[in-house]
Amino acid sequence: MTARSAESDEYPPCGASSALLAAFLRALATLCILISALPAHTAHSIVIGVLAHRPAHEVAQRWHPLAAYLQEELGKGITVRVIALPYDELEAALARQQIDFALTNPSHFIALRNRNPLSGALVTLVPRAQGSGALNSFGGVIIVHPQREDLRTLGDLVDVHIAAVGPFSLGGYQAQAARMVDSGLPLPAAGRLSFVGTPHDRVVDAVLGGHADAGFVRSGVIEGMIAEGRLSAGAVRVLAAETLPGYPHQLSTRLYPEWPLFAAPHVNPDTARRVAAALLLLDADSPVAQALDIHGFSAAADYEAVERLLRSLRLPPFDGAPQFTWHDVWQRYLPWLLAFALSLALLSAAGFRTALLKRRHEQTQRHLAATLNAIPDLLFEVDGDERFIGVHTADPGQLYAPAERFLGCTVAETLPAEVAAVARQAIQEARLRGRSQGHRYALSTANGLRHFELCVARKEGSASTSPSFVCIARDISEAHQTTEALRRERDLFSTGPVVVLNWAPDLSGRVLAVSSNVGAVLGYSAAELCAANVRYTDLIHPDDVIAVTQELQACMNAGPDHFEQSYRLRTGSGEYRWFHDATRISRNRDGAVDAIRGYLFDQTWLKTLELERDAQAAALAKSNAELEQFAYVASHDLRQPLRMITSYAQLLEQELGTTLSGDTRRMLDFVAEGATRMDEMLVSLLEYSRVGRSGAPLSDFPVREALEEAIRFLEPAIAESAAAVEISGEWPHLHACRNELVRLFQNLLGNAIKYRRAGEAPEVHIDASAHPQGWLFSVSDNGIGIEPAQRERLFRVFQRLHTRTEYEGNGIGLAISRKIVERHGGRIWIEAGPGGRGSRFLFILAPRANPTPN
Amino acid sequence: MTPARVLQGLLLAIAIAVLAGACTPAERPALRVASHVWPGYELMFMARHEGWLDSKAVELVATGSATESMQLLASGEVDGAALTFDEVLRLQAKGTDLAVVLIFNISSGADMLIGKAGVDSLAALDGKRIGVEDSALGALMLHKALQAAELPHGAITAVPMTIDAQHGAWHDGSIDAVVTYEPLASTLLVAGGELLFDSSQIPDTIYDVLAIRPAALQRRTGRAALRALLGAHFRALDHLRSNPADAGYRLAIRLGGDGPTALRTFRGLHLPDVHTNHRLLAHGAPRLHAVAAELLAVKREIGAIATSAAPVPQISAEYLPPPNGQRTR
Repeated sequence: MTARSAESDEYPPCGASSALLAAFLRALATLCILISALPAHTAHSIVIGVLAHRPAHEVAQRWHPLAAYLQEELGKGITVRVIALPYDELEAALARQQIDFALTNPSHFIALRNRNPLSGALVTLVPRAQGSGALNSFGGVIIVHPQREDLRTLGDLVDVHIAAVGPFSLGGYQAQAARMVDSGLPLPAAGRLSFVGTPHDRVVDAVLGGHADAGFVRSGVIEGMIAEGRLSAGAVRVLAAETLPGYPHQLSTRLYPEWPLFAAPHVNPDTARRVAAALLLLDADSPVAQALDIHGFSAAADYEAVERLLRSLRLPPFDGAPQFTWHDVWQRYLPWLLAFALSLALLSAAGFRTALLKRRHEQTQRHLAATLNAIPDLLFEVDGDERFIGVHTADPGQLYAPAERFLGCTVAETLPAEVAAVARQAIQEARLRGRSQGHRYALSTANGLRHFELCVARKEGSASTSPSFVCIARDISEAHQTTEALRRERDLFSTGPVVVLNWAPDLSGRVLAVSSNVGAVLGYSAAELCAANVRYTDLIHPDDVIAVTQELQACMNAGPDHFEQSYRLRTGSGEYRWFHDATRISRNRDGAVDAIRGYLFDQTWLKTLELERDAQAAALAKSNAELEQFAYVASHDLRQPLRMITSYAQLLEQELGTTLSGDTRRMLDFVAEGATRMDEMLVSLLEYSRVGRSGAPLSDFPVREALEEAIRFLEPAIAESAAAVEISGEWPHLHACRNELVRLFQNLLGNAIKYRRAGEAPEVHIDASAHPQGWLFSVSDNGIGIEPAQRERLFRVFQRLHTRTEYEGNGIGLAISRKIVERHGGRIWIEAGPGGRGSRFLFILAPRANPTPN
Repeated sequence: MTPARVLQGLLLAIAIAVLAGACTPAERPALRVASHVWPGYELMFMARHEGWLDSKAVELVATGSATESMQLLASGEVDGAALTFDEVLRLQAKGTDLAVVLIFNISSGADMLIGKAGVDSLAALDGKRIGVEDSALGALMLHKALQAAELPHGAITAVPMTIDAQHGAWHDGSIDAVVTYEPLASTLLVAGGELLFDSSQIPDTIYDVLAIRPAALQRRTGRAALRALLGAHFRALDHLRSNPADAGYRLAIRLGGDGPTALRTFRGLHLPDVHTNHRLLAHGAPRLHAVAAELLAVKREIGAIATSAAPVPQISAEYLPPPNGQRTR
């Protein structure tokens, strides 16, 4: 390895050339210019410090021709000396102003310039290109062993061991590092990075020797080693190779300007200008350039790229943390700060919302649990296989068995067979139609035998799960009982003969509802009757409808709240039948009619009987009337011829008086007596027929007065027989015919006196008292009494138990008495007297007798 | 709408945006931009070469000439093209709606009128055949050169030809002079051409711009891609400024020659930075409108158009990086 290639990074190559003469002439001319320009007092020495990247004496020796050249160019009064100093010593010498000019690598220049008041770059070294002209820039190369197939891209360098020249080497480390940073890769880690120092060949050796996976060298090093035969072509492979048109070397990084030469601050500007001019005028073909193996010097390059590189790598002088103000942060990271703040806000909001949702969820859970606990029904859920997966009840007594026994078991396994059948049918319906309702079952629970109604709803599962079923069992035992009672009651009505109708609470005649037995009773269906166009009154017989309507209207107009009527209705067969209608009207608080309900009962059979009876009664009354008329006529009209018989019998007796024999006279007496008896009988008969005919007006009067009047009529007989008459009891006022009641008491009292026992004074007791059917009157005596078998016969006309000779009378009195009593709605009968002696006549009169005139 | 709903909406929008970004088809980039070789345009290509431009978002379509770029743009095969402002005006006039979103460079000497050996002065142009692109820019250059030469239009014969035909025409002798630009200009000058007139004599007149079809910017991805493209251009410009030695070699990949040669092609070109772009494109872009008016006037003068009114493209600074953005490299 020659020094030239080894130093090609940090040190411009030097070489030899011929054209000495031309250079000499040009240098001479330059020198003349410089000398003439130099002021007299500028005669002094100039020291040029060169970075000693190699042993100092080697470097100093190499650059000696430049010193000689400059000394020659600047004039004899000025001595020019080149010294080689390592990094730190060069820096120290500059700081102490012990050197006037310095030539070092660009990154070192930047570092020095930031620490010392230096001039800018005066000129830039232009090395000689390989076999050609100038080369203004250089870069870095990344090399790997050609067999390392795993190392292909920059990214592959991250975890491998790298050999580099040194941390301040632009071509041997910094350029490559910057390239990695530029590509978004991290800098090689300290543990994987070895700085092997100059010359750069060491890096190549480290890679080829397997001490490192990759190496960083200056551009041109590889080509130089190959040219000198120290490296075969293809011995190393260049990673991330760039092919730049016209650039002669392989390259992996950006290009950077070559070494600058710059002046210390104390250097006279004129001196600096003259040195720069001398260097710029150095011809590539001059012996000096040849000796230095350089192309020459160019106008100072722009070193901003190097400065940026150092900044990006945080290398001196930019190794300190940059001064960032909040303003810088704000300016530079505004979008990120905003994004971060937004993210934070979103995150906070999301967290807050999550917490809020969690709280709401808990509230909802509590609310749901409270709601569930408030539901009195039994809730359970079964899966698609009818297996219980949840049971909930606020009252465990509703359960057939403890809840734990349900879970995991099927409906069929858990419930009694008949209940399970109902439940499974409900679930099946819900499976097909989404829900089912109304299934009922009875079950023995801890609360006893209870009735339940089951409602099942299908609960859709996710795409992967089958639906489950939510079942609600409601205890309807009370409702069931009510329903049963209602059903029985309905049956009671619907099966009986009474039709219950509900009319509209107006006079429209519309039927709102009717009991279901209407078909059997009336021959209409309930629907027919309740049709909007049907008026109940249209069914009523035309002869009856007015009465019914009027009655109903009267009730509606604040009349009685019920009425009862019988009328004819046209039945479904078209036949009219008699119905008894008990109508009840209910009113609301305001008195308005809110319901009219009728209870219809078919009484056609009864009505038929009634009509027949009325007809018979009418016929009977007519017959009686005719008979009475006959009796009256007979008794009245028969007396006239009888009076003729009596009269003529008396005339005969007077005419024939003395001529009559005893027999004839007796016969004539028989005629007269017969006629008299017949007349008496006719009078009695007439009197009997007159009861109820003469018709004294009815009036209210004290019955006691009638009795007392009767006693006055009988005064002579009472006195004659020394009868004792006792009156007791509570005597009422009655609405009756006074004369007839006097006659009644007269007949009964008279009989009591007349039929007395011989030699015994009659004792008569008359009493009156209230009776459930009216008033009970009795006339008791101590007379001869009446055989029970004869008692009924005595009330017939002309019936006697004794001969006229024993007791006077014609047997009409009791018949008249019975007629009077019956005419006043009462009845009369005979019992044995008190203590079995005598007789007692009893009769009852209705409290308000309403005698029917004959 | 509750705050929670707003949050949900935001999160959803972010999720959709992320998903939409992830789901962008890989086949068709969001923006396709055509460009022929021209130093001002090359920073885009350098950025692409350096990996500063996501080729999935922006595809740079290399063309042989501005004419080809215009054809692709007019036919809709590309969404945008790097063209002279004059070319943009011409496309707009033909019905291709465009928006100027970037000024690559302002010619201050890069456009030249070069004479062959023997045509060494403006006056020598009299009676000569001059190759010129069939564009208002070419016409403008020729117009200004003839003005400077005090020659009427009829004194010369204008030979219309595209830039890629000029080199051949120069050598086969069919023209005596040519209105051209870099990199051909340097080649012709090296080959013995004589610079007779250049755009430094008509400063602030010749602009190279990036024109985009507004339809491509209706999509969010299109707008993002354009911003990325402009950002990459300025990053490359920054690199050219800070490390011209390196940038030169990288520009040489397309411009030809080596690094120093490539840098020389930028002679006579003002590459406006972000600030200058904002100044020129924002606030109604009065300078560009004035240039448009001047170009139209030239066209009228040479009879290229009859009407005085022609549609001017939109000019927008909204896709540029912020003017206060400080790039670190």
